[in-house]
Amino acid sequence: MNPLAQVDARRFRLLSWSMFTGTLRSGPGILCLILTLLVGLGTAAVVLEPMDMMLAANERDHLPADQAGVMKTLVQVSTPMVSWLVAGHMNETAGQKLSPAQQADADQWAHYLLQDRPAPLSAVYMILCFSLPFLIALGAFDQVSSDIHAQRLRFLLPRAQRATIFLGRAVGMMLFMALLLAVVMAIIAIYLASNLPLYPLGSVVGWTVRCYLMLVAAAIPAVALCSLISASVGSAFASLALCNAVFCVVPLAPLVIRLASGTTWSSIITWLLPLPFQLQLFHFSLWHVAGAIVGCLAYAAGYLLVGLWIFGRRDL
Amino acid sequence: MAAVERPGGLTALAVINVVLCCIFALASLATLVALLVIHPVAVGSAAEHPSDTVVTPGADEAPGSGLTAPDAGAAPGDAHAQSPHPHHFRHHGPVSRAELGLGFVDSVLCAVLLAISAVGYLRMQRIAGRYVGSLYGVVALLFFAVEHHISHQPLGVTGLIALIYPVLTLIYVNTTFRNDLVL
Amino acid sequence: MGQVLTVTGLRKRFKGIAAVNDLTLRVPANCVYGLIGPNGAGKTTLFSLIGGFLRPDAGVIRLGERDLLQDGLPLGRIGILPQDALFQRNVPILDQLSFFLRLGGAAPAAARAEVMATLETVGLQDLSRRSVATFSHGMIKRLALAQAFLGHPELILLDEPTSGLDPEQTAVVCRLITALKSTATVLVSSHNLDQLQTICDEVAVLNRGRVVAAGPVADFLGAGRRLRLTLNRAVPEELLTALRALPDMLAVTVPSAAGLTLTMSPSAEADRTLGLCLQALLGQGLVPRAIEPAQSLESEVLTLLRQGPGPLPGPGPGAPTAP
Repeated sequence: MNPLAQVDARRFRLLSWSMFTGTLRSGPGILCLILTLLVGLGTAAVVLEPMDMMLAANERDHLPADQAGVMKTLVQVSTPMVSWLVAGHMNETAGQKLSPAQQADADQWAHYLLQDRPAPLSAVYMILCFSLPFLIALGAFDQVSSDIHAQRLRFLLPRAQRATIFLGRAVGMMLFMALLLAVVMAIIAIYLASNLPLYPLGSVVGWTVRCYLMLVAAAIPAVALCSLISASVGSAFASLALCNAVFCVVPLAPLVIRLASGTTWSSIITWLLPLPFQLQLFHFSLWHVAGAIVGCLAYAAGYLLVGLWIFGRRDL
Repeated sequence: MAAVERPGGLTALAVINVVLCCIFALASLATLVALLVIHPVAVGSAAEHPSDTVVTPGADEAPGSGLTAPDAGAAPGDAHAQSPHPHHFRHHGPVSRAELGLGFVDSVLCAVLLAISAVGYLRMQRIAGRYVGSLYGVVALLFFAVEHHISHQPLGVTGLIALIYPVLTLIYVNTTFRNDLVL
Repeated sequence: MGQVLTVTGLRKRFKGIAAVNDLTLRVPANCVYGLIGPNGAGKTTLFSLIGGFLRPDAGVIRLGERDLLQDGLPLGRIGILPQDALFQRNVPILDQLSFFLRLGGAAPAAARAEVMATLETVGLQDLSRRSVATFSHGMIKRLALAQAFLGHPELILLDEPTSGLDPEQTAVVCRLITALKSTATVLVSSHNLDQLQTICDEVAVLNRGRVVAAGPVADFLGAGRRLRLTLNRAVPEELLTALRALPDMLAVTVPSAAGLTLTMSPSAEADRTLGLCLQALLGQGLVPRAIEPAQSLESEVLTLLRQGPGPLPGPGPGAPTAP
């Protein structure tokens, strides 16, 4: 029987809400919130550091403290670096050297991130996007694993289908991560806006809202992968270790293999996670963004289906 | 004995409280040293060399105090030492004795309240946990507002964290863990 | 009303060990059905397979016409007392059990009311705001029983429901189980065979993952009502003849010098026959120092298990057999 057909809305809602409120009260949930805040704010502080140093230097030299001028200089210096980073990412994805048109695309992309949008915000949110899987793993590693170990699910199984339990908990965790991201990004936006009044408030809010939606899209497959891993192992600690191992190994393995053997095929390993196109979430073209969102949701669906298959067949 | 086992989140809050309590204790010690030793030396030095207007980078703020360590090189009230622009926490002006005193009281009070509320969380007690935790939230926010108003410093990272944690505490102990802190 | 539970050819192996080995069983509707067997016989595994906790390697489990393995459990219609499952330790029991009922479709207020009523039947109503963190083993067992009864299920699986309970609580639980017969089918396992003899209508004896024998309890006990008397001295031969002549007295044997075994027919007049027998003994100065049942489920099951699988050499027609 199709397990997805067994899911019913009422039980799904109850189970996902129970997961959401339970995670709010749990140790991993609070630690995940605090750590995400620290990482986000720490990143914001690091991003502002060069500007602060330049302003301090100007003041020591009795030059006018022109925040806009300093930011413009920093953006001009950073644009080639960001273009190189984005080009490297595209190169990695395409598996070959970029054409002039693709290089122009990368330049335009960098220009969009640093000049059309508040540059510090772009930097912070992109760094947050890359660190998100590790932070999510800290909060989402134990969706069902400890309940499997303690046989607590045996009280639920006569009352709800396995598919409803598994998917309900995954969605509840996604809701928690969405709330966590909203809180963290609001705080980061307030911090940066208060320290950089040269950007209009509307611009800051608008870009933050859009990046929030992008980061939620990036978080969804990470939560889904943690659901899969949690359903596969019957131990909370093993689940945590495996989640972090996957998020560490998959991005680094191709680099290590390429350095060791010089082969480039290893970049295919990165396709186990939505890494190759995740950066597209911050692209200037809405088509690219839409494609990246669809890709993230497709990965999430894939992870959840595999997790559902495992959870539906394992002994509980 | 508690009617229910302590939720993991309360344990996490208690641990964070203990860590912050230690930080506040160290900050209060540093502020005390600044108050009793460094500040009088700085005032004396400025009086001897009034032409020096060096603005020195400050030490890290004590979380929740919103203040920085005293500027040893600048004379009190030196206009060049004051930054007219909202900057990162690193760049600042001279700190008065009153601000240092306020920072000391803030650090000591917050350390004490954090320690008591940590014990309250672990024992799931209403007074030590919920009420003292709420008191810490209110006191920390009040001190933050006053110090921020006096010092006119921009919102730095540590200052922001010092602002967020009391707010989180107030929310958590009065909503999520309200029914757990009942003993 | 309950439905017939049918298990056919069920198999489950754990790391090469056959916990359930081609097990076949039929549980009639609206009865209390006992599962008996030594440790490792497969009782808990069978419960787990029926309850959907474990996936069998082969076999079919049907509740009425519904194939539980293909179509899943009928939600809210089966109550299960798992042997080792743990409750959440940081949530009050009222909230946990209410959540279970709400999964079954109950509104929050109605769920809480029903939970309180169920907790009252197991004597835990005053502890509803506490969690299992402060409960004794017996209290946790009663709580687990309460959750199995929630929602008035039509099939209730109870894995050792009285283990860890004091005699008073055990009696309460036995009464509850017996009372459920009219509305549900109850499958219960226990190592306390005297208890099962009292509450069960039918039993199945499991050994090494298979059913060794199954049938009504009365069939296990054999035809007739048998009593063993220990007297103060030997019974004279003429008195023995007189006792054998009593109506409904099937047999009188002398197992030992001062002992007497009476086998009476299982009829309503057997009590009268016993009374006449005791009067005759007392009239001759023979005082019964002890009167006890000569056969019990425990003794029959032990005999069965020692014999191994195969039909029970019972006293006559109706003797339980291996399915």
